[in-house]
Amino acid sequence: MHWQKFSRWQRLAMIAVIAGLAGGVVRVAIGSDHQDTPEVELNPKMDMTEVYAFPGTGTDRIALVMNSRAFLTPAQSPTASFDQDLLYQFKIDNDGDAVEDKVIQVVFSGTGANQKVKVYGPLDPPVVGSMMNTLADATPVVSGPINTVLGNANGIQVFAGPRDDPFFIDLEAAFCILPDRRPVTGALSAPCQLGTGAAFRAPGAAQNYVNGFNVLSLVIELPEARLTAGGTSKLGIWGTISR
Amino acid sequence: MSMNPSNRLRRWALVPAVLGLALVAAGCSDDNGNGGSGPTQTRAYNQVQRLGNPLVSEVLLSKRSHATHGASSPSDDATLIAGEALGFLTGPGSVANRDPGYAAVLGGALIPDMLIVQTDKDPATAGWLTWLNLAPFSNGYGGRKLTDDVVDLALLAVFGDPFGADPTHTTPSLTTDNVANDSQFLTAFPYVGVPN
Repeated sequence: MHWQKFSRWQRLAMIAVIAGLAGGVVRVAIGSDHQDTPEVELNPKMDMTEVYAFPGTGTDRIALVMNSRAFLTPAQSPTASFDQDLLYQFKIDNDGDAVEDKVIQVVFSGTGANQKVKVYGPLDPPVVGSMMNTLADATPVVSGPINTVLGNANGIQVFAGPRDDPFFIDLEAAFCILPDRRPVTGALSAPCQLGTGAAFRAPGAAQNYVNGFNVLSLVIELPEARLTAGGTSKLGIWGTISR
Repeated sequence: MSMNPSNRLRRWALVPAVLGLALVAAGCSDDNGNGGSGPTQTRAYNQVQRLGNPLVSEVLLSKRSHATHGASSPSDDATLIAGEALGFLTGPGSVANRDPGYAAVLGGALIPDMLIVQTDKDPATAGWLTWLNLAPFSNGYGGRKLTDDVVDLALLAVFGDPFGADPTHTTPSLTTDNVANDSQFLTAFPYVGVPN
């Protein structure tokens, strides 16, 4: 292509088009800094990482843990807090129909290390199912600042705040084996760099990708009887985050 | 006083707009039932994330289905996700290529997607999937401990043969990721290790 063949106006128009294309590329790159679903892209605090349930301290007590905010760095952690516009819930089925019979509802107010947590329940769900859930019109059973052990060791005990992420996995290798599960951007989004094919790395070469990262932990311990009441001793437990 | 036709038209056009605003305002002041405005305890929340068993959504469902899993309930699983999860485990084009009978056993353990806890069983037996009455498990407490290597157990269940039920359809190179827990857990509440 010979530049001189074009008039001055044609040349200016071509420069404008090229500049516009370049601008578009830059905007796309900035706008695609996310990990998972569109909802999590909007707010990483919605990103629930794991749920745990295990025997607590003392007879017939159970501890429930819900972690969120994946890959919180040590630098981000001292001022990290939960999202005060979200509703965090443990849902418990105690009669085997996979529908919640009890819920524990948790909300937060304020931001940063001075944030306050309020815990409601366990109580009958004000609304059953995943949509249009409401917070119980009740008095919180436990409330107070995050980063503090709250409540009563014989009743309901609560802790909310940044903790070491207990999860461990060679995520780089996992994404080599199941490439469609990769995030869209960031270090983990690149095609497999390991040269291992569809296999895990050998002991010693394998790396725990989660090592060194924190999460926001919500830990609640209570008597098992508070969850089995009105049902059986067999529980189905799951965590939810709603906005 | 005279008005040209286009000005008159604009003034009349304002009437429905003002009426519309008034109706919207009336609706706003009424919709939380206490006559106030702004957020109250009656605001409604829609679910965006859900987690019961570890790795069910992450491994068995393709990424495009994660939002569906996140916005639905365990009681929806048979309808919404069981087909895709089973398709990962068995049948033509499946990733794991398992015997259909074995895939059904595994599906029954994981779906509906809830962490099963049997509070009347010995707490010493607690751990992910120990509630199953299927060797090497024996009808235990279940749940999930902070120390559980759920990645290895999930990989073993999907690609190995922990139950001795389907020895011919395994993929031994995929049954462990060869990493171990690095966290220092507390023996007392809140158990989860202090932040890095």
